[in-house]
Amino acid sequence: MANEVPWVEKYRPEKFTEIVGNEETVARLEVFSRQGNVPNIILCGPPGVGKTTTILCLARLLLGSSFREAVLELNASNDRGIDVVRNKIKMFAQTKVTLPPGRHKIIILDEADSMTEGAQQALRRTMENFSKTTRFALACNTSDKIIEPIQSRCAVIRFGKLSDAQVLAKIIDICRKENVSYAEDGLEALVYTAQGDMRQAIGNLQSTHVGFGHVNGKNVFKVCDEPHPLIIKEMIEYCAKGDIDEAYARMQTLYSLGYAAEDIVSNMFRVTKTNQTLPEYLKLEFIKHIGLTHMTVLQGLGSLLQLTALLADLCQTIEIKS
Amino acid sequence: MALYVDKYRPKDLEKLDYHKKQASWLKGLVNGGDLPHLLVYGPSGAGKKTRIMATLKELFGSGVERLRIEQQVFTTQSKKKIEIRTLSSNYHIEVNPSDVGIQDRVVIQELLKNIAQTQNVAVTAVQDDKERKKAFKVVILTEVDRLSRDAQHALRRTMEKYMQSCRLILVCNSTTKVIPAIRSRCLGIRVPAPSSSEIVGILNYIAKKESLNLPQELAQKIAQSSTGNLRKAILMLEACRVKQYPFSADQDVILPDWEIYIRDTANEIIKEQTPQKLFDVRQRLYELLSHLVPPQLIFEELLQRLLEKTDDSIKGRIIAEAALYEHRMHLGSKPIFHLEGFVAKYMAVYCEYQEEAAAMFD
Amino acid sequence: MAKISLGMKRKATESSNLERNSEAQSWIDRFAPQSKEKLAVHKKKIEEVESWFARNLISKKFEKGKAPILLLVGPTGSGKTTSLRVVAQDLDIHIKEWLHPITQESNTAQGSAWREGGQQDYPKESVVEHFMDFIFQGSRYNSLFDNDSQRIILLEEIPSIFLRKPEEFHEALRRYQAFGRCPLVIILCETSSSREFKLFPPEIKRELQIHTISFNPIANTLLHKAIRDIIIEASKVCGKNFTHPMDSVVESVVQSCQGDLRLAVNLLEMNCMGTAKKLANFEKKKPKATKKDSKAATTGIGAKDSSLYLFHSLGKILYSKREDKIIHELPQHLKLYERPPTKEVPEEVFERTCVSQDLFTRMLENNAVNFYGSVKSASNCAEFFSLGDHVNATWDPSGVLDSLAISVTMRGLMFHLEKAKGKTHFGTFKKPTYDRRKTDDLALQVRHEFLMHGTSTEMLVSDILPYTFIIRPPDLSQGQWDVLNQCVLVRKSQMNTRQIEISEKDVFDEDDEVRVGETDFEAGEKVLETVSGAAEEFEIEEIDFN
Repeated sequence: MANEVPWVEKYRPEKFTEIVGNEETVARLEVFSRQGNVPNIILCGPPGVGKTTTILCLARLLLGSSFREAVLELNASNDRGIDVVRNKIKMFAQTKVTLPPGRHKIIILDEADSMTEGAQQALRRTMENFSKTTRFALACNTSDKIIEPIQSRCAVIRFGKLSDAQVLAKIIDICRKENVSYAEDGLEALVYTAQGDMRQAIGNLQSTHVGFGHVNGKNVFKVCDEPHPLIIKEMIEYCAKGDIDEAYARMQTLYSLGYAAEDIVSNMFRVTKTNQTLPEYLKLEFIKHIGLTHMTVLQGLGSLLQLTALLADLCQTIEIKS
Repeated sequence: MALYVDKYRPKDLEKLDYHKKQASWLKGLVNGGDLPHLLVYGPSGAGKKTRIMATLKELFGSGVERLRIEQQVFTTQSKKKIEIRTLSSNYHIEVNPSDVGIQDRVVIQELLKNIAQTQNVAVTAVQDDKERKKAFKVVILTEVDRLSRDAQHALRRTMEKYMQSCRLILVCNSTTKVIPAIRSRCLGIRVPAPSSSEIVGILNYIAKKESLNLPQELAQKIAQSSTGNLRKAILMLEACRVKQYPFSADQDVILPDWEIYIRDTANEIIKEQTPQKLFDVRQRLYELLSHLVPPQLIFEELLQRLLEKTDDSIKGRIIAEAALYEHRMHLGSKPIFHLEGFVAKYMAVYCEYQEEAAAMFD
Repeated sequence: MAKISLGMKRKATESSNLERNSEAQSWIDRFAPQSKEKLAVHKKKIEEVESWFARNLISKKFEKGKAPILLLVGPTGSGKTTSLRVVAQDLDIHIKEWLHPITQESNTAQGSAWREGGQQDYPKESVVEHFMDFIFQGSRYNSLFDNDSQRIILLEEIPSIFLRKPEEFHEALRRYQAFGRCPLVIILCETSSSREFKLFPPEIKRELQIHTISFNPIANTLLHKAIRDIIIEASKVCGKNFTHPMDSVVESVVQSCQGDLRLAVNLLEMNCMGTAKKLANFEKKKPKATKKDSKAATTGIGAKDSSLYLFHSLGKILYSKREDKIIHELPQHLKLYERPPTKEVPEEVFERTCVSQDLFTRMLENNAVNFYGSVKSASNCAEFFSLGDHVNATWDPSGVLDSLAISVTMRGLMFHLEKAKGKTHFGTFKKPTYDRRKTDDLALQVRHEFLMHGTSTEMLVSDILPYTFIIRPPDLSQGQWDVLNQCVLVRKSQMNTRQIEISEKDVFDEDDEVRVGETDFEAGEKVLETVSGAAEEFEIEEIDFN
């Protein structure tokens, strides 16, 4: 058990067909890969949706057996200052690797938005000078952290969050393969806490399995340590009716269970965002109050009184005349 | 650049034109013994800098007037280099630490440390007792109310540590933003704005020296438009001379360009309240911001101009809203959002008021 | 291939090896313009470059100690390097470019792994020394490939040490001017940082008489022409692998690249590569798109990936389309706040754009004003922008506050935006132009020039500067004049004229949602044309002034 490979790595797709989510984008990249002439690309999207995986699949498909020598991967844990960009990347771009005709070496820069502007400027020239032999693939969370000269040399490809159904399907698949005992509410909990991030979902699944054996809702929330969304949902719905007593009872439960005010408030936001029964006006006002309270909490004031004041504001929304 | 403001700035404490009691008291302070840390505060253009330089001259002689510009470089812990320009003479150094933004703490610590260390050599070499008392360097820090909290705490510690070798003179407009710990370590010197008649007196003096014939009505007008800012009044006088001399009593007083621009903006807002007009106003606000006019100033001036033309019944509401937006502007990072919010709110309230007024007459 | 002789022998060998493999080249290299007529840059700019060459190079021996220096600045993809190359080729001038060498990797084992075949690059020589050597020797001695032709030295990659210590760079430039034998051309891509100001402050520009030519984003008409030319050439050369793009694709490429020709060519390449059959297969394979998506999708592969997507998302928020019926009811006293549910979930729209909260908020703010139906809704919406900024004031490392802030802003907007009575929405989307960093640069300049008068920027700007401008004392330095001219407000802002253009534009029927992608940009294009045309003229006047 101690030598077990993390499932995130074990079940990382190696072929395009295995990649979950963002089908259109992935299919588009596959079209490129078949022709061989892939442009420089920037993949942007939230964490855990398959950016690095897709690039690696693409590289494997394009380069086949030369995959090891012809790919250089640098992420944020490597040194990526200006000098490294010039030296390491330039040297790699200059080395000769035998490749099938029309194929290029690939340099993968993960978490590219954390590179300093100076390093990105240095990268710009390198991209141009070695465009005949090397293609670049940058992965980042937000595309506007990449300087414009690089954006104009690349195709920007967006990755979206995975849908709940997609995450669920993959999790069930892994459960079957690994013989994990699970309950329906456990899977629901995993999907909820993952929020479209496959890495998070699989990681939590493995932790729950290893820690508690049976994957049910309770255990998942123990692992993720978040206030149970059902309690929060009830709390919000009582607020929408103006019932402060019921709402307060739940808040008190959560507070005495020891959850941090920050967690409670951010979960209230998450639940309100996705709630289907609240009218738009209430949602708007709720989110507004939650935002202001969150700000107060971050400034250091996360007492039960502040949280209760938030509930009071929420409950009053339905009562106040305009 | 030899503007009247510089030419006629008094260089000695005896030659100051107003707050004379304070001037003689300062003189006594300097000659009596040691100089404590000073915190000089008061509205803009009241004469804080003038008094500080005069005090320094009293202390060190006319050597303080020979100024040179120096560039200093400091390194932060994260190896980042910060450059800052200072104005100094052989006896003092003047710097605005908030120029560098959030790294102001580093500037204060390093600068004072450097000065203190270079001074120690001079102190041991001095024999004369009286001389020894003056063997310190003076550091003038301007705009201390813009310093971050970190910087102010660092300052407080540094003030104590290096008391022997340097004295600080802190300058600001208002002491509210200066932490009490610093206020208690300094001697506070409040420089109030001169009165209208004092300003008129100085304007007349300058006119006489420049052989200009200055009608009293014009002098009064200038003194009033300057709202207690002597620097502005003298600049206005010179600008008026450039625009039209000989002076006429009913000559227009020349306002700074941004004030006129804001006044025009306020008029635009009063003229029409539509989304299109809001768009135009926003462009104007952007113009002001890109020409470096501080958002605080824009807000105040705009509000004043709007209130001049607002009906009393909604004035209270407008001021309350203005306070709310100004508060948010202070806390937030994009002043344009709050300025625009205020203008939009003004338009909405004004429109509402007009509709109600119209309805009443039906 | 253009006659560019480079300082690095390595690149020459590689390029000759791959010349056979020209299919591996990207379109940028393959279809680069070879003659002046093909350049997509405004004719006047090209003439400026040519006249500079005429003055300073052609068969003229300039005075000793005064090697001319030319600076080309401009946004990315505006044609600086390409214009230089083409003009130089035309006039038979050799360009010697300095490329940053690989310095010795100090201690990492990984570093040594990459040193194949004992390639030893440059021994302990510092980058600066290498740079100085290159430009001095390059200017004095011909390379083996040169004949008697003229040469210039090109510097596009500035050693990073000069960014940290600009004085050393200025010193290097001075020495070059004193001893160099041929002109030096420096190309600087202006991003949002203040590199131009640091490296070339006004006093250095004056001292060394550096001529600056500022390139503008490429006008849409020229973009269109360039793209058409490339399409024609590509269809001849690429054969089967090329699919002719639809007009709507070309249109969306032009609109989304915003004057950046390199980006346009890249996008075009993405949309045209692949045989028609493969593209058809691709279309078939796609999952069942909703009716909304299908229109945008059929405009080509690349359409969704361009920055057009950002504008689409803005449209989704700002148009805030709703269903017909009210589903969730509110009690009587809040009846006026009832609305049918919106068709889009704002948080999802924002997440799919993959841009930062800061940029999206600024873009919303810049464009929302076209959608304010009445002053009341304007006031309510502006309130939410203010609120969003307020919520975001505290630093939150986990990023939750960012999402909260944008959520508040977006929902507030969608809720309060109302249609003006009788008018339908209109709007063309623009990127925000206000750049905080330029203002900070200006503030820096003000402090530098007017330090003798005070150290407080606020005091300088509010009192001293406006009056100094009026008084005009005779002993102002040139630098101080520059600053004054930039700081003093012009009464009639240039901006106003542009705004009138937009509001008179066609107001189109907003029933067709996807028209955000189509008709919007027709109107937008006309505006952009007038705008860039006006901007260009304005620019040129400024330069003549020098």
